[in-house]
Amino acid sequence: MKITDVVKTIFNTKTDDITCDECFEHIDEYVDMIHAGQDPSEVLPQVKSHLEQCRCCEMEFRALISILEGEIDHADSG
Amino acid sequence: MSERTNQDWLSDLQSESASYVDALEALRAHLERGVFYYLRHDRSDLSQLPDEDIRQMAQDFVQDALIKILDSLETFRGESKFTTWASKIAARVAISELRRVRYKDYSLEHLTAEGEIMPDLASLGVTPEGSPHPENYAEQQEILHMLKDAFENALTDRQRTALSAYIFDGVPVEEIARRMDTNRNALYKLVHDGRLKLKHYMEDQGLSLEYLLSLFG
Ligand SMILES: [Zn+2]
Repeated sequence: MKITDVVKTIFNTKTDDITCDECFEHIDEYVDMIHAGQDPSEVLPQVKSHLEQCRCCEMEFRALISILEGEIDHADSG
Repeated sequence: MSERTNQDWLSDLQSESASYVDALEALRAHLERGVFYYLRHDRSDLSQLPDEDIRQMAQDFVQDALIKILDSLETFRGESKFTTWASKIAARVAISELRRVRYKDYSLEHLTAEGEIMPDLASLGVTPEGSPHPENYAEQQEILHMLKDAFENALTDRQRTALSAYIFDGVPVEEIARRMDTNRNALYKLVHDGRLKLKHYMEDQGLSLEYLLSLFG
């Protein structure tokens, strides 16, 4: 890790945070809201906050977005 | 793919008729397309693998995911599309498996043994020549000493081990958890509490994120 990532990891920590499982529980709802053009941070602020602090859940979130994109792409073309 | 409603998916996947097989195969094909796409387009670490290997990987991950999906149908609360819910399970299976393979030879031993756990500035990407502000090098070293003090004084032994793996080695929480005989949630909390302690320690020394980013940027 680079030193700038180290200090960001330390300083971007907030007092309240949910667990990874709680984040996972709501992440499908969160992603559907994004796809529907809504802002999920109003309804699920704790998920947004966790994604900003937990790089593992953030990576799974990005993978989910990519997987859904792959599902749609091909469904449209055939 | 035919458009099934959430209710269609649930009743078909819980039925004992031919519609079960139809729904299962439709879901399998759907998830395999998505997982293949993710592995092929978003994983630079897999870019050297041929399509057929990636396809096989996607099939294996989806097979594991389908078992979990069928096992946990009753936990689907209908607050998202069924396919989004199923896809998040596939995403987690795929990533967990890739992490397990990537870190299979990683050990915490170098962090728990007596001795130096702090990497030097060079291994954190900071060298006098490489820095955009070489005149700051002495101060950068000072900050690293402060960080080292924070690690030594503000953390418990377990926090120190977990945080060193998480922050310096970049190891995912579930992989650290496995090696420390705990689960991802508990390990995340241990790391999170430790991060807060380090943050407060550094803030007490008058340091801010903005300042540090300008110093090291
Ligand atoms: Zn998390």
